[in-house]
Amino acid sequence: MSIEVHQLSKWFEPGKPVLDCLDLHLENGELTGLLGPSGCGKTTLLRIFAGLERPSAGRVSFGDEVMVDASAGTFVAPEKRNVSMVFQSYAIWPHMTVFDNVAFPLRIQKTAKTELRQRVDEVLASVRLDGLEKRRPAELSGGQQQRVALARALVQRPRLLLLDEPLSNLDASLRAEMRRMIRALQQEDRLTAVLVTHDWADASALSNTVVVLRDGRIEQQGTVDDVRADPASDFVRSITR
Amino acid sequence: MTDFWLDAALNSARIVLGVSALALVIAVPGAWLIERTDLPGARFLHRVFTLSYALPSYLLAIAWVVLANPNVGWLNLWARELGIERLINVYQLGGVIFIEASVLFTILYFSFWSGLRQMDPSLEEAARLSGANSLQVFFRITAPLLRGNVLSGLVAVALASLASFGVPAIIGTPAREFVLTTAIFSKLQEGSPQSFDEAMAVALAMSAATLGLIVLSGLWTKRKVSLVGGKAARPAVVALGRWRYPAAIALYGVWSLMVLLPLTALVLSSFFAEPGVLRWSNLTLRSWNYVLFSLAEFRTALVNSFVTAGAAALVVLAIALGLSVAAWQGRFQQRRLQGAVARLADHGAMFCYSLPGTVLALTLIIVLGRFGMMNTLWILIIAFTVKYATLGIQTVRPSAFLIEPSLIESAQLAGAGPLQRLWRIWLPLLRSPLFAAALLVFLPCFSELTMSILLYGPGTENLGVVLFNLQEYADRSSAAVVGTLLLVVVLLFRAAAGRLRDVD
Repeated sequence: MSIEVHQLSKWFEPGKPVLDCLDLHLENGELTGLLGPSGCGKTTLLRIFAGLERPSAGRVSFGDEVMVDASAGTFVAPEKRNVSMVFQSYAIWPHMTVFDNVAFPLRIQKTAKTELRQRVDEVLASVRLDGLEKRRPAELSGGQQQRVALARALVQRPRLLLLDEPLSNLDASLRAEMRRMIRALQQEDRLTAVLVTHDWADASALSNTVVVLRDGRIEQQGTVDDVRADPASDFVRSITR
Repeated sequence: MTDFWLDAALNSARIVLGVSALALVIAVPGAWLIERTDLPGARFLHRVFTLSYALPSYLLAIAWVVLANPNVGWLNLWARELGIERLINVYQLGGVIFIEASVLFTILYFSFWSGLRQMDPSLEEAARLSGANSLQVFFRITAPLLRGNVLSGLVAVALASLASFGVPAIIGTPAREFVLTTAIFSKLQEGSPQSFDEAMAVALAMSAATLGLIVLSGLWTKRKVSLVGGKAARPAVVALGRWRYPAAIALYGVWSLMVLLPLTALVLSSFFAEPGVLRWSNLTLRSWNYVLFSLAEFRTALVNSFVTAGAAALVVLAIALGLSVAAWQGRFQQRRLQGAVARLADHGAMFCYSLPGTVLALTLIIVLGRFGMMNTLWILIIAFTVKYATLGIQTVRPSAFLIEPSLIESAQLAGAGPLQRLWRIWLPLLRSPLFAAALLVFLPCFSELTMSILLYGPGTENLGVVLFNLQEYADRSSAAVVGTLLLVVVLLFRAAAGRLRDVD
């Protein structure tokens, strides 16, 4: 499923747009990196994809389905989009076990018990958390919590996977491992995914294409190699270094 | 004889259960609507609840007597003109529950609201992206995560309703419906040694019940989890859709009925001669004239209230500063003794706050009575200090813990002794939390009734006592004048305290 963004703007205060007339096309089955310094609007864009934030103007469609159109008043609620997100804070529910956390989306969909078991077991195995089903989140390391969040995001087989700075709280060795894991899982299912990061190393290791944002506008868009080889401005060059 | 106490205990139990249930129904949905949805005027409602929090509940009781006294209550007079003999009678247990809940629900509201505020929004957002709708998110994620906040809030509401005296004395006693606090009061009025002993035994049972509730709530809320997120994102607002206006009307309606209507009636009734006749020709300043210029007790009480509340606030301020510094030393400088003393005093103060005022007052009569302190302002000041010290301590200590050890150590290296450090470093650094603490203690002391009614003597009555006695003598318009004045002072101080917190 491709994503179409048309003339998208967002402002919290009039006259100070966080996103400024954005046009963007994200390819089906690819992982796109949204790159930029803090305050450039990348997280806001991600939250608009999820439906957690509404744009002030413009349109977002998934395939030919309009998710939100500010002028027409169309809006699909986040729970109806089948989009999942790995939050920077992981957002693992502390009152549930690992299993219950991951099973939650399937329980909401009222998936049959045997299928639910099977799918949760499968996804836990794929992020190498098998055996920890009964643990509480407080008993897990940061890296393990991260993988619970990833498993929960994958189990519902989302149309779109959103990753909000998923690696920023991990140390260097875990980071490399998680990069490989996310990349492998995304490739395996040909998932359409968007990664928000301020770190060129994360973006270049994970993404097919990158979009560099600055003050709510697109500074440059292209494949990782193209952007590195031919940065459009000093700003982009400073980021790719 | 035992039937008397049994009935009172049963009535107390009914009130505790009724008030807690009513508070739960209003506060939890209210806090969620205000904090999480696109409810129109949500911020205004929150402000309004903040103000209601500071109201002495007996003001509402006096106001409801104006409105719903079976004979001369305004609502009943108006209904009679329409041919209805008696619309509503406030003098019943249901009235006590309703009026108590009108103020006490705000305790639970703040407990739940601050939980919602501190909670990492992504916990709820992740559930929405998992396909859960607003109700599913609330019942499967939000409510279970904030169970501790709900329970501790409910216990605080239960303790406050068990301890309350003013409302059951004004609304319940005329209907011969006693609760434990008012039963103790009426026994003490009899004045015989036997009734004093009985009252004391019941007071002991009440402190045991209080302690039990505290321990129970400690067990319940033990399993508290940290919900504070790393990122300060604003949570996605829940769109109420077609429920937006019905929900707003319901909340505004509840608040208007519980607070706005009675307080308006209270203020108006101080300006009208005939009850319920809201005409220009019926306007008069006679009651105001009488209270302000002829009623000698009023002037004494005004001075006494300011003096006792002010003195208690100052003493608490000193205690809070000392204990905060001690607790800080315990944590950052490994001073075991200071840390232990601070912790002990902290728990003690918290327990005294939870104790019903009636019980605390009785204890003070026994302990301080033999030092000749009865009928002095000292006993009132001591009572207020003991009861409300925890409000000050809990306001100052968190701010003290934010102070870097290096700030104090560099003063030490510069040659400042302990007292100089206290005066030159601690006091200025903690200036605004200390000021907030003083205001927070001053307010409930200024309008205190429950302990004062047992501890006052000739010449030491305060505003709460004068107001209560005017009400007892059925001088309702004078009571309305004193009530209005109290209301104005409370709201002014509360607004000042709120402004102070906004600045910080």
